[in-house]
Amino acid sequence: MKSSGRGGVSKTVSGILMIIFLVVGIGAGYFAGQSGATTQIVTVRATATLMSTVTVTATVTQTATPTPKVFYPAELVEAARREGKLVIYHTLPPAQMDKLVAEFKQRFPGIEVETWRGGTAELLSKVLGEYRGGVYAVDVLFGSDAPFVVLHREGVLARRPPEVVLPDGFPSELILDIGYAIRRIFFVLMYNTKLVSAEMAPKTIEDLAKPEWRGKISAADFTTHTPTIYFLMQLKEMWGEEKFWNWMKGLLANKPIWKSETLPAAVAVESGEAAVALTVHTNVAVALDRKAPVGWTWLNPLMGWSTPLTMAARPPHPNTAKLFIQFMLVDGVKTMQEIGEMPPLLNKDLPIHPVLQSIPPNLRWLPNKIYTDQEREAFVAEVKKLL
Amino acid sequence: MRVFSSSDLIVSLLNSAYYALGAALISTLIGFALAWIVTRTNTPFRSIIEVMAVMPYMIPMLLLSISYVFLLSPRMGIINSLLKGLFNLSEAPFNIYSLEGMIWVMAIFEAPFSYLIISAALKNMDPTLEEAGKVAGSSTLSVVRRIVIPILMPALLASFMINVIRSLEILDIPAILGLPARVMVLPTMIYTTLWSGLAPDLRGATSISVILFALTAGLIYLYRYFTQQTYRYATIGGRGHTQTFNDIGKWRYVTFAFALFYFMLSSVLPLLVILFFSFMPRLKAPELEDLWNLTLKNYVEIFNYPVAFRAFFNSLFLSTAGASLAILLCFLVSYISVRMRGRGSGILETVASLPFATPSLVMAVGLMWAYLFIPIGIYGTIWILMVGYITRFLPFGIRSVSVSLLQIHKDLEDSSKVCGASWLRTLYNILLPLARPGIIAGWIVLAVIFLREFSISILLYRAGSEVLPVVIFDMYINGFWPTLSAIGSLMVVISLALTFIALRLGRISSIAG
Repeated sequence: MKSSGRGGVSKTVSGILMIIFLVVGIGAGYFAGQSGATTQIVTVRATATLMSTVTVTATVTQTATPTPKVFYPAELVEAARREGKLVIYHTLPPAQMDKLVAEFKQRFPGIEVETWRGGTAELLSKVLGEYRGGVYAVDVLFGSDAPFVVLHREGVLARRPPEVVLPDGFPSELILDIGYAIRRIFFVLMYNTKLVSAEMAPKTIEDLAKPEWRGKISAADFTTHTPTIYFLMQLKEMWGEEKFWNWMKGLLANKPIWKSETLPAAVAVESGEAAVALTVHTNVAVALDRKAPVGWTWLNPLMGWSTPLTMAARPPHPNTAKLFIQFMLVDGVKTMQEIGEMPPLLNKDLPIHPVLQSIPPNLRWLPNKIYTDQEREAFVAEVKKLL
Repeated sequence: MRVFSSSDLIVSLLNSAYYALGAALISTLIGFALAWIVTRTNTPFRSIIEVMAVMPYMIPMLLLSISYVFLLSPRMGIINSLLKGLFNLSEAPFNIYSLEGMIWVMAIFEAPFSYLIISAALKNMDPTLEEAGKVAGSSTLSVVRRIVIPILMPALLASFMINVIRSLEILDIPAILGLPARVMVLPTMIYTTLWSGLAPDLRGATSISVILFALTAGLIYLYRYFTQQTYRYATIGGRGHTQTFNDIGKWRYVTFAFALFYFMLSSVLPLLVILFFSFMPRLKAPELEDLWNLTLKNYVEIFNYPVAFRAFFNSLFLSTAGASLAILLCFLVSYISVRMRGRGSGILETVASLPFATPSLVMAVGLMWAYLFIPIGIYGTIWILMVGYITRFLPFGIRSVSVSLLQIHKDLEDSSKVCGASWLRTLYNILLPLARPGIIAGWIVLAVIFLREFSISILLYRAGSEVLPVVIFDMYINGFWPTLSAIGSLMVVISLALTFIALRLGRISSIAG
């Protein structure tokens, strides 16, 4: 037993060493390929990826064959074409989703794509209502992680995302039961440059509590927009009770214009209704693409949420749904970084949207947390006391 | 129980009361002033004022609310910007995102209803009573205060009550103008209970709906009570009277200016600003230089926006097919209640008028419950919207058709039968041709209502069953304001066309009353 134990230990140590070498090798090779302003955020995520997926990465590397991967098998494409239609419910800004869909349609002509866009809560309410009413209209869902947990629990989402061929280096910790978490959203402060100069713009989130911003801020409703609520709860954990609630009092005294979600909060800045918004980086990208006069400030640490992509539990067009998910993991992610959506990994050899290029290298990234219903309700109750 | 014990509910109830009473009071005052100007004074261009008074009715309420954001938003509203520039103000003088803003927009939207109710009563009022007052030495103002207002009390109360009820149930204005300032009223509370958080709280929404239903049902009872007391105020006798117009001297220019001012604020400015935004090259705060960069591309954009295109056809289908089906039902109910007087007809009439006391949101929540658990496959389709629209607005059509049927003496039908005609032939040759104006007017009124219905649609639509107001709301949220304005402008044109036809048929007043 002892001998066997020593042998086992020895094998285990060798195995671990081999894995460590592999990991270090892969990591070194990976990091060597990264440079410039985007390095830090990618480093943070890639480190997390490698730490948690040592075995998977090693296995993938050990069994890798020179045969190129077939991402779009002919039979899947043919089956999708026969189905001919795809219905996607999502929470992305419509302009962003339109670009991704256009790419997909160009790549796979003959497939009609129908999209419905709503806020986090709307998507949840809509799809839950449909499933409870026996309406199985949606194939693919692409939305915030918090409601996806609920949708998964309620049996609206597939138990696991469909098996697809993953591109090399795809971070395995992004493969969740609720979908492939391929899109990450970061909170930023967005401002209208016609109303606020870059020098005068808020530099930190703490600045929003200063009286000079009274009547000039727009934000997603702190009592109803779940991702914003989670962001604030995380901020409270980071800052401590006293600092957070003092800041909150100052911010609420500035009488923000409340919007149902972060997109209309950004729209308020674009239209000049508000001078500054607490919104997310993807909305800045949309505004920039519309040639709106906007500037933005990154928060430190970077905080936000992820957007999983998955298939519905009872999709009317399962093959098209699978093909779209495969497309998003392989080619969609490339388009994403071009239009300002943060993919799992940035590829510096391909175009990167100016908003993503502007991420300062020294920023820390704080993974988002999903709180329980009771925690959320208790927090909202506290906020309501101040309103 | 959580909903009933929440402080949000108390705040919402108080806000709702302030909002509904304020809007009803202002709209009734405007309606009375306009009705008095048109029917009792020698104000110039009275026939034009008559049209001006009902104009806001032709602008969908959702669009009117959005137009007021463009006009009176504190930072980018055109009027606020102009006033700030003119008077060198540091703060915007008006904030549309407030209870007062909501009251104002609701009041100007409801004023046409008040005008129609009160002007009808004024036209029927014997002017000799006022002449007697004047002969006795009273001033015009004194006659209005001591004679006209007391006699008109039933009409004034009816207008006030209807406007209170409508303010309590409508989602459009509170959703656009109230939510950004967290001013919650009962409809927005139902909406946010269903459309926020991490699960649609259907039970919570139902609880609030019950409160709203109880409130409106109680108010309908009060409305019926007041209108049944009208015999105490009867001034129409067997003796005929001709309408007389008081010479109010130079004040006639003031009254004209008042009517014009109301028209500017209620129709001209909202329509102009929507039209202006429909030509804007992109979403931005409007500036003078934009006048040189106007474009038609937003109208072309509609065709590149498949959801808008689909919504247009859905709305058109619901508006035309829905109104046709509804008017058929209205005719049947009206015929049974008018011609077959009996216990059953009374019950039918009561059942058919029940939806009048049922707010649209309550109806939508009820339909959600019903068709989620009755698996007949209409939940999530365009058909549930049609069921909702027809059920909710049936009383409006019944009112129009039954008034027409009441005017046709039964002798005409009896004569036809004596001559050997079957019931169907009598219906086709006698009843339908004679009741046609009422039927057509009812159809048009229902078609206009269906075209712009928002409260039911926002809760019941699903992918594929979008309608224009929902798409407009969605575009507003997503920042497609110029395209939204282009769609809105087209909607106004359709509404205008339909409403003018209805007005020509002269039935609006009978329906509103």
